[in-house]
Amino acid sequence: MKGLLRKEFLLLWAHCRVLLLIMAVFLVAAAAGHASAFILAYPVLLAGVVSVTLISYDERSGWNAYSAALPCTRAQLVTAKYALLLCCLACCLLLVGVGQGVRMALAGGVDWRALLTLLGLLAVLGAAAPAILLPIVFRLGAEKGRLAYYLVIIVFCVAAALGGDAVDVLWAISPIRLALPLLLCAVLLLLLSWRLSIRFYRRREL
Amino acid sequence: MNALELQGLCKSYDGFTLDRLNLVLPAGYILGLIGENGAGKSTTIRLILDMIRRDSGTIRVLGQENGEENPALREQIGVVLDEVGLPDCMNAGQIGRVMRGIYRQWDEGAYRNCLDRLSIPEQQAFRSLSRGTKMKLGLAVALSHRPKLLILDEATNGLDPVVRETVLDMLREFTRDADHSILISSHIVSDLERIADYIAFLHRGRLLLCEEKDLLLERYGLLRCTKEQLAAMDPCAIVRRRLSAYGAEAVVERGKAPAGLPLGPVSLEELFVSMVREGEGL
Repeated sequence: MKGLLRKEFLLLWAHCRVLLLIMAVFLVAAAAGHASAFILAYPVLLAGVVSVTLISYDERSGWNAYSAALPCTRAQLVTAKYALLLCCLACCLLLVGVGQGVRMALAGGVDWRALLTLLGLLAVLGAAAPAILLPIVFRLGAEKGRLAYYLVIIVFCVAAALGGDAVDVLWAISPIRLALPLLLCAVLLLLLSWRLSIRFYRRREL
Repeated sequence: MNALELQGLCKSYDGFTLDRLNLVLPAGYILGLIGENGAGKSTTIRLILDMIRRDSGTIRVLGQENGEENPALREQIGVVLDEVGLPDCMNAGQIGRVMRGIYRQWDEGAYRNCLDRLSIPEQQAFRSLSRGTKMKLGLAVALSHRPKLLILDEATNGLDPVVRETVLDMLREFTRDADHSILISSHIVSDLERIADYIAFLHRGRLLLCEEKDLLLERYGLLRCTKEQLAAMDPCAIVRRRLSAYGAEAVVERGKAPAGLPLGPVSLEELFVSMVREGEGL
């Protein structure tokens, strides 16, 4: 498993540096005060689809077939992708949290309830796209899953763009009780997706 | 113990059927799987490695059922596939570090030795290597975790003659240990003729034969004679005949050929082509 994770991070660094840069730009923009729903959600969405992107690189290089001959179970191969996803999402949410926290602090004080709710909402948003996409890609392969990939990304981006100013909306709601269920919802979504992906990938012929 | 036992192995795709394949590779030997493109060599290897599901039949590898829930068995199998399959963006050094985290028995010294011996650059990304060097790197990985069985799918394709000789030497060295075995598929028959102990001919998903190479080459010979001499022979002795304006050439079974006729050695390639053509009535 250690080797698989090392491989995922090497691949992430080699192939997704541009994505990381875009994420950084959006995070800085959000922290600088342009906290529209789109600007807040976009880096989290990108972090969510990094694993899916890397699966297509794996297929192109023939790694998916080769890895089936390694002393790893298919469950481990799937788990490595989800572990990478969790790392990316967690890092992104942490940076959003820090950025927004600093922004709030500079504006007069940190509203912890709003901040936690925002992070919960973003966690669900970030987890939803890969939770839907990964089982599809593990079942059909990246090539056939690409259509679903673009569809989900477009739907999420449009939803985020039409969502208006997320912070204002959250300021209006901001019940602290919402944060925990949202985070729980994201975790459950990913757990369900992970189990489904393992099931699909075990059946897949490589 | 047998390194590999396949019994009644069947797999059907749209337009292709691997039909009741029986193969045995005794431990300590090299089995060469020969077949034209699409004969079922890669399908057989993918079935052995459990990459695809068999329709029926049994597969035993090193005395055990192979399956995805048997990583300990996979530790003992070194694999080089026709596409190699190592990550494009990584160099040999990074690939070594990844494999060290995957194989419990990873031998860094053996890996470095292979990289040196095969002149594989350590800092160059896999994608920028030539096909031959990619194959060499795949082989270096396969040999560096102390496997007992090597499974090589078209692994010598794309290698220049000098490197091919080095690779064949390394494979011979590998089987000096009585526990080490190799299943190697190729359509470059001359490579297999040089290293294999057993030969299996696969044609359109069916096994034409599986025999000890030396026995096979002893049993068949190449006859060059007149058309009249050939016509007088028992047709059962003839695997395939070729007539020309200058005479006749035929691959024949030595035991059934009349004494006194000049029989030369036949190559595996000639024998394979003869059997395939004969089977097709060409």
